[in-house]
Amino acid sequence: MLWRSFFLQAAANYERMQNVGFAFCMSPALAKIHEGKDFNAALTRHLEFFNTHPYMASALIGASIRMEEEIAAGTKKPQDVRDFKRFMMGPMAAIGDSFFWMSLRPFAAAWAIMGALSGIYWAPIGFLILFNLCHLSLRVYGLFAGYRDGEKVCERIHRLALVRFAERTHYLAAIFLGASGAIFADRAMASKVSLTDGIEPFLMFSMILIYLLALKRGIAMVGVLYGSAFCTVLLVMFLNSLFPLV
Amino acid sequence: MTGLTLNLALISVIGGLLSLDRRAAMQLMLSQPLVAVSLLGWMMGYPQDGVLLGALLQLIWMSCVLFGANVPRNDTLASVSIGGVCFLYASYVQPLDAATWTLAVLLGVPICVLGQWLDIKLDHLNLGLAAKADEAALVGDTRAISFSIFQAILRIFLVNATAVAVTTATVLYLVVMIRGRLGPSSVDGLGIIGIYLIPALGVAVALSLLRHRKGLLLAALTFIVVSTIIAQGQLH
Repeated sequence: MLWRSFFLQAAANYERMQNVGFAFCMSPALAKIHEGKDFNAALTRHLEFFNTHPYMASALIGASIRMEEEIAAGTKKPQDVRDFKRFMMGPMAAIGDSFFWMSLRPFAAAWAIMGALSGIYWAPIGFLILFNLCHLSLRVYGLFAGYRDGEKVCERIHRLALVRFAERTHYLAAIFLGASGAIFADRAMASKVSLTDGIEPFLMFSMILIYLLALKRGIAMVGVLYGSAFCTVLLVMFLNSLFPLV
Repeated sequence: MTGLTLNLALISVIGGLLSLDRRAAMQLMLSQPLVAVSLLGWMMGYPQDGVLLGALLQLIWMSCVLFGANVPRNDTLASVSIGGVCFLYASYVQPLDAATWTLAVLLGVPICVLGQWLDIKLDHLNLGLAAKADEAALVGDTRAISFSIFQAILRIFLVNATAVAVTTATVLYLVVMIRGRLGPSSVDGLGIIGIYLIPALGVAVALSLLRHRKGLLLAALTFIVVSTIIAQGQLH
């Protein structure tokens, strides 16, 4: 099931999102728990709308298996597992998005980028190791914790304080990005299109600031890129026609 | 010519496989520009260029995130195509310079929009698979559900591999055609864009993800400190 959870989003669609993937993950367990029409009904139950963060889904899969066992034993109703998934997929998605997409990935990528610019050419492998250590650990832990704790798995995940940890990675990512900017300026100084010696860091800092303001004002990255590229080419051509500046 | 075609085929297969990692399978972050372009560079004999180009592309697409039902720009398709164009150019045309890879980036960035459109179409096609899964569940046919997953994966691979082949070939043709006709001023201009503008934009995109102002202040302070250290020659 853990292996199957890696394909949760393979057949993602706009109507019921990860429903086919979720049923695909659940089917081996459901085949062991239910028989005949109960099995068909359980499979249909898990083809209902489902959408959460893919890494956090394993916790919900584990908990759903536990609940299906309880349904087979007669201590729970089929509606309970439906309600559990419906109420929990949102909060779990929020935790996963905040931790993995908005914190861990930028942090690991910022570290790897700084490393790559400093000449550590195995930095992409470091990025993969750093990210996947957290990712795979949480997937495995989530599945087992979900099965063990059932409906209470969300409390257990909440206790991991992922969001609080995520806040701290932002500061580290900021440090790595600041250093990357400075290394870019240094590389510019060493390049063929170097301007007056010593001005590059100031120029790079100013451009980062201007771009940041433009992005914060809602201008799309693509717009900023093409706008500034067009202006630069025009400016260089104009200056070169007056005097050979570069 | 045969070597070029073979390399293009290799790039398209790698692009197709990496696109699976994006959402359909695993999600081990192999599809991130930093890893994808580094891998491509390593396979084509340009490991250092691959890592540096990957780092730059990772920065400018740092904000591409799959939230809920949102389908972001396809940075994998664009990165693999841009990387492929740069390494094919270096292998078969001329050594890579700042103006050439900048041109490849400028021409390749819109591919992410094409990739996004393809992702949306693929999601629509998956509705048919979901309907088939419903029918299979009614009779308890788990094999049919597994087959739906396999079909979806195969379709994503084939669509993305084809898209990588087409976009890489097109952008390579454009880069060769345009680069040969550029005057010294335009080459200088492109060099400045590649060395100054794109890195600055990348860092700004990544910084725009920071939620706290303290983070921005910290980044600015680090920039100043590291620049000072470099200027004093302590890092060299």
